[in-house]
Amino acid sequence: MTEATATTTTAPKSVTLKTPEGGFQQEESRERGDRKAPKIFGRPFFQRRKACPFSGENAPEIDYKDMRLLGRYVSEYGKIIPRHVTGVSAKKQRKLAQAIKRARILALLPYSNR
Amino acid sequence: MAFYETTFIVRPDLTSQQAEQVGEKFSALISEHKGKIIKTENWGLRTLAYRLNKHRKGHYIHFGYEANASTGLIDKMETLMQQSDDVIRFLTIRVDNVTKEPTAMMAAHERKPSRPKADA
Repeated sequence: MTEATATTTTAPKSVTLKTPEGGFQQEESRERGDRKAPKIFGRPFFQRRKACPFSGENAPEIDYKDMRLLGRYVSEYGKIIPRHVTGVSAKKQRKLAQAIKRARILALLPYSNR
Repeated sequence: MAFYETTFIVRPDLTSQQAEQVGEKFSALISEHKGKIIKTENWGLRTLAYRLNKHRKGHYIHFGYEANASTGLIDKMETLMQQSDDVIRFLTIRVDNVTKEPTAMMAAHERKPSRPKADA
């Protein structure tokens, strides 16, 4: 028995959510840590991979002085947003984290905002 | 020779002229140690993201320069900043290159509409 049919049989655990198409679809409550491949109607559905905003041509340079840029990658509590949310590549996320930490030393960004 | 960037925050109770003077003291120190200053920027009186020595604001001064670490400039400058009562925070980093172009911080300043002076 495949996983897909197994999850459809346990449908009562599902929740309603809005899909990008605008309609409502059922989503199985997923296992913890399974955020890369959410399942809709038991069928595997892959989220489109966002392109890294710091790769490719015309990409902005990561700079600890650029508040306008860094501000987009910290939450309202001042925490660094994980890359699975922003789509930043691993290499660039390391540079970004370094830049944010430097900006914090200079009191340009908060360590915490409660 | 390597490129460095030093940014430091001067106490807000000094006037902006006095803050400039503190900056000049350090730029003189760089020149004394055969460093080449590529750019000096004054980011003005900015609000700090968190309180520093009970201050909520500070004058930001930024240097981009080329220097030789073997002259002991970086150590000397950091010691002086640590001992200085006027400097409340500093950060020196080594960078790949320093250009004459204004940093992102200055560009952000320019986009703001200039406020009319109170005494004008």
